Parts: sequence; structure tokens; C-alpha cells
Amino acid sequence: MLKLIRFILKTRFSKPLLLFLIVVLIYSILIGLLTRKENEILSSFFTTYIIGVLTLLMIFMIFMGGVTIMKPDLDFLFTLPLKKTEMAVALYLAQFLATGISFIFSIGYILPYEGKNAVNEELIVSGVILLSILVTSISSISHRFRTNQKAGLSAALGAWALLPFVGVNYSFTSLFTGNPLFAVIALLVLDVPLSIVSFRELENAEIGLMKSNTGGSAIFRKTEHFYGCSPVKAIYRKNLNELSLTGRVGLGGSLRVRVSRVSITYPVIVVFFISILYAYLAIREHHFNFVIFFGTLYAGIFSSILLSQEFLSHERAWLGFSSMRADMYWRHICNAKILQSMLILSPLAAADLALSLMRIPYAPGAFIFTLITVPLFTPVSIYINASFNAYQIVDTDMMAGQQNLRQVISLLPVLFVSIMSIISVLSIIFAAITVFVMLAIYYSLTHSEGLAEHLLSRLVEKGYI
Amino acid sequence: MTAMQGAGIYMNDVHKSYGNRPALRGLSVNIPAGERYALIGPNGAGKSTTLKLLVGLLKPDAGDIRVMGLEPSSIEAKRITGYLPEDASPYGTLSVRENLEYIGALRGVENLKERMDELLDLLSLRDFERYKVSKLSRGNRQKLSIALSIIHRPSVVLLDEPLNYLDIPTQESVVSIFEGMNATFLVSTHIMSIAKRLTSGAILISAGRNIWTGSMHELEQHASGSETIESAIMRLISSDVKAH
Repeated sequence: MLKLIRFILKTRFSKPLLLFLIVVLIYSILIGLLTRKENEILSSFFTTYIIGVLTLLMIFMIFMGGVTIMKPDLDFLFTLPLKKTEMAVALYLAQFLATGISFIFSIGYILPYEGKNAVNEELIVSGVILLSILVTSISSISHRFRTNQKAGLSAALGAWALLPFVGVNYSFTSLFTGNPLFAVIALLVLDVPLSIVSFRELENAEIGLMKSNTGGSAIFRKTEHFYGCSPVKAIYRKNLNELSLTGRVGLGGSLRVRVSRVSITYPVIVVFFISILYAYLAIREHHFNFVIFFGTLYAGIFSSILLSQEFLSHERAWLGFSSMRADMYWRHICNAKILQSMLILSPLAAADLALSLMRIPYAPGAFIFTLITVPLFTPVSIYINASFNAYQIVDTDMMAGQQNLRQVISLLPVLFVSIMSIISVLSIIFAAITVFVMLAIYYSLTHSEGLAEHLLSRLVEKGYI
Repeated sequence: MTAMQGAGIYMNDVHKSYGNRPALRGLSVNIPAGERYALIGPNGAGKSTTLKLLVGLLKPDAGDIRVMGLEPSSIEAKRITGYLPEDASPYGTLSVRENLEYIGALRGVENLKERMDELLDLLSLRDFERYKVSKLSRGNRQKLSIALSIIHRPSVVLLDEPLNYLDIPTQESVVSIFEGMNATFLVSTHIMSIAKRLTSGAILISAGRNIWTGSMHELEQHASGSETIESAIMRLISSDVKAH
């Protein structure tokens, strides 16, 4: 049994990554414990913030969840005479490390705001552990659901999260609204049946995976046409008409890969509605404008990660880069991604412009950052990921390979975006300087023949074809 | 007249390493334009690396490479070169037809619609033209990859294990498509029956070096008595390993 667990974990997570997870976990808990203050209560902003983030993470797991299975498992591991229960336990642990553990990290951020109340502290820790088990279970069965079922489940989860605000405390959000006991009871009630279902699923992981693989439509709803397009026009048409979505869940890399394609109109509409909510909340905020601050930051992070991963996951060096000179192809791809990012974020930039005209503080800097800096940063994000963590998606519906510490480097752009976002929002002068710096970086990245060829060579050497 | 002139594929003393691991150690190859050669060698001999260098996806550490006299990463060389990697995977976010249209447009193929229809029919992909690549069987994915590699009617064709995953009737169709092309071929394979079907010459490489070049007929003559051609190749490679 232990051998199997070791094997499953070893093949899915590298040792340095596991060590890194342990260090982050200890750091998070220690920081949480050390920064607590007497009788401090969670501020309303942070209550909403934590509930919002955790609910979004759970919805993300519902949509992108999957079982930590790799292709070699189907070819070799599942053909071995192993006990199904042992396999389920080992896979559940791997599943926990890939999904549920991220919720445990939140302990460090919750404890400081809960004060030194011993009863709450133990209940909150228990509640967070139960929450992480719930997420692990949901993520291991969600691949069985169709998109509309996932949407229904997400809506139900959202409603469940809001229950304490209408006086019903049996929700996980009660962990953060001063009633952790109710949260623990509610989580226990859900955890028991869902864990059983999850174990059943993992016992028959192979059959489950096969069923989910054979599901779904074999054709796209809308067909793209490239007749009569020049080579350059074809690149822009491909990138500006459609957005390829890649579902990749997991701390360091991808747990399960799903690929879908939507018309670019859909993300623009979604961002449009988010922008209305964003503008409404920003107008209502009277003190330091957290809405603009966090809204701008997350839009930047989301856009740069989404578009860089979208390109790297789906690009084919043997087709794209072999069709024209490497630097030419690279430059047009970067420009197309910049325009794609501008298009998707345009409603948010429009909201920032409207807020600026209404003299809402920080909105002018946010406008410049969202409309220009974030799109210009997309090639930088692609370059960083291409240099350190270029995942090319070939087989879908399973883990692409072992998750390792190197993949954490793909979060490096997040750091850059965060710094640029903060300084841009705080000062319009810094926002302008950031734009000029980004323009210079963009130019040097996209106008060097040697750099493009070096990047391509590096990718191909790592097996990216 | 230099060796490079008149050569479809020319490599002279090419070295390529991946980090500290050498893949090619002074490989030299000279294939006259219009000739068809198989690149034969054991696993790790440097066959795939050779093709990637010829298509300009990799840069050599040292040595000279020319495709029809052109530098492989130049736009002129890319226009005339068709490349099929091993286990090729087309764009997963496009359908079969969209893949052909997109690559056809990128390569500026004239009469693209007619060319696509021709390839869809030749490779029996007509029924799958609207299919997502992710929903294709491995064999159909390989057929699409072959179509993508020759959509622009290249005059230099570089193929890495082209008949992998194909059933026997499809193998025959693909062989006849290649036979009908007027191009220089370099086919990487370690299966002799495929090499004999697709090419008339052979280049044996081992540990990143060229150890033998000649016609298929000459290679077959290396086999003595009841010895198979595969055994003869093994013997040539073993003697080279001993010599180095």
C-alpha cells in the first residue's frame, strides 16, 4: 500500500515541488499564527474577499477538475493486478496535493483576522481541512458532468456561499462570519457522501476517464475560414476571432487538460458584465478604492496568464514556425496576442475611462494599465513561460506529466504584473513610465531575429514540436 | 563544381549538442536534388535531430547546412521544405479542414481549396473534415499531419517515421502520394521495409555520425547468404562502434 502511494505521488509530483509545498504550508500557518492580534475581528472587506476567492477557486475546480491520471497509467499501471481500494487511496492523496491543499494555505491568511479565540481557532482549522477535502472530492468527480451541469453546480455553490448573509449559517462561509461550528457541521454533512462517491470514482478511474474522453461533440459549432488570407492575415484572423481555452488545474502544472474554443465575443461579453459590476462597486467605495486596486490587478494577472498559456499550449512549432521565418512568425503572433488582450479587456478599460471622467481616484492609472500595459506584457509573459515552462498540449483529459517546481516559475509574470499594477494605479506618472518601459521591452522582444530563433531552438530542444 | 551545388540536401561536418549530450558529431550528408534517401539508424543515433536542423527548427553548433543551396531558416528554404515530425500533432484547437486552410494560408498555397479537396480525398479524410483534431484517431491524425506537411507541394520533403499508425491500405495510398511527388526525400526510419518502399538510397548513421551512404541495392548486397538486410545494418553499425 505504502509502496503504491509512494509510486503514485512520485510519478505525479517531483520531490522539490513536494518540499516546496511543505515549506509554503508551514510558512503560511506560522505567519498566520504569529501575526494574530487580540480580539481582532475579520473586517467586512476581507470577509468578502476571502469568501469570494475561495468560492471562485471551488467553481474553478468544478469546471477544470479531473483525476490525477497520466497516459502511462492507462498503458501500464492500470493493467497491473492492484487492489482497487489501495489505488483509490493513493490517487485521492495525489488529488489532494493537486487541488485541496491550496485551500489549506488559506489558513495563514484567515487566522490573523480571527483573533486569538481558541474555540474559533480549532474550529476554523478543522473547517478549512474539511473544505479542502470537499474540494478534493468535487474535483475528482466533476469531469463526469456536462458543462450545463457544472454551471448548475457552480450556481448552487454560489448560493450556498451566500446563505449566511440571509441568516442561514449552514455554509462554509460561516467559517469567516463568526459561526465556524455551523460551517463544520455543513461541511461534514457534505464531505461524507462526496468522499464516498469520490473514492468509488477513483477505484474505477480508468473507466471514468474513458467515458469522459468519449463524451462531447466531435465538431466545432462554428467553422473558421482562411481562404484568400495572406499569411499574416491568417495569423490575426485565427487569434482575433477565437479564444482557445485550456483548463489546467493544479498547483504547479496541469492536472487535467481540457481544450475548448469560443468566439472572442464571449469573453468580451463576460468582461463587459464584470466591468459594469466593477464600475458600480468602484463608485460606491468611499475610502481607499480596493475595487479598482484588486480589479485591475486580477484583470492583469488573468489576461497575461490566460493568453500566454493559450499560445504555448496550442502552438505547433513544426507547422507555424516552419511556415515562415521564425522572427516574423513570432512578431505577428505577439502582435495578435496584444490585440486579443486589448479586445478582451476593452470593456474594463472603458469602465476605467468612465470612472476617470467621474474623477474617481486611481481610475486614470488603472485605465492606462488595463488598456496598454497589460496587453503589451502578454509577449513578455509568453517569453518567460516559453523559456521555463512551455507545456504543449497534445493528449487531453489527463495530466500532461509530472508536476515540478520549475513550473512554479510560470507564476513569475504574476509578480511583474502585480508590481506594475500597484504602481500604475497609485500614480498616473508611474503608469506612463511603465507603458514606456513595456514598449521598449516589447520592441526588443519582437524585433530581434536572433532572439526568436534562440527561443524556437530552446523550445524544440525541450521537445516542443 | 562544389559538393553543395546540385545538392538537394547538404550537411557538412555538422555538430549539435543538447547541453552536454552530443547528438550529432560531424555529420555529413549530400543528397542530389530529386533523389530519395532513407536515414537509418538505431534509437538516439541523431535521425530526428538531423531533420529538425534541416527544417530550421534547430540551429547547429557547428557545420554547414543547405537545402537546395539555401540556409534552412530562410524564408526561401521554408517555402520549399515540407516536414513531418515523428508523432506529429496538428493544431488541437482547429478542425481538420481549418488546419489545412490555416497552414495553406500561412504558406501562401495557390488554389488552396482545390489542393485541400485533393488531399482530403487522397487521404480519405473527407468524412472527418469538420472533426476536432482531439477527436480523431491516431491514424487519422497522422494522415492529417502528412497532408499538412505536403500541402504546399514542397520540393524537399523531410519525413520522420511517416507510416506510423497507418493501416495497410492507407500506407499504400500514402506511398503512392509520395511516389507521385517530384521532390528530394529524406525519410527517417528504423524499419527497413518502409525505407525500401519510399526510397532508393540509404544513409546509415550511428552516434551522430554518417557511417555508410549508398543505394538500397548496394545496402542489400552487404547481406551475405541468408543474412537479412537488418542484420547487415546491425553489423555495419557494430563495426563502426568498435572502430570508435
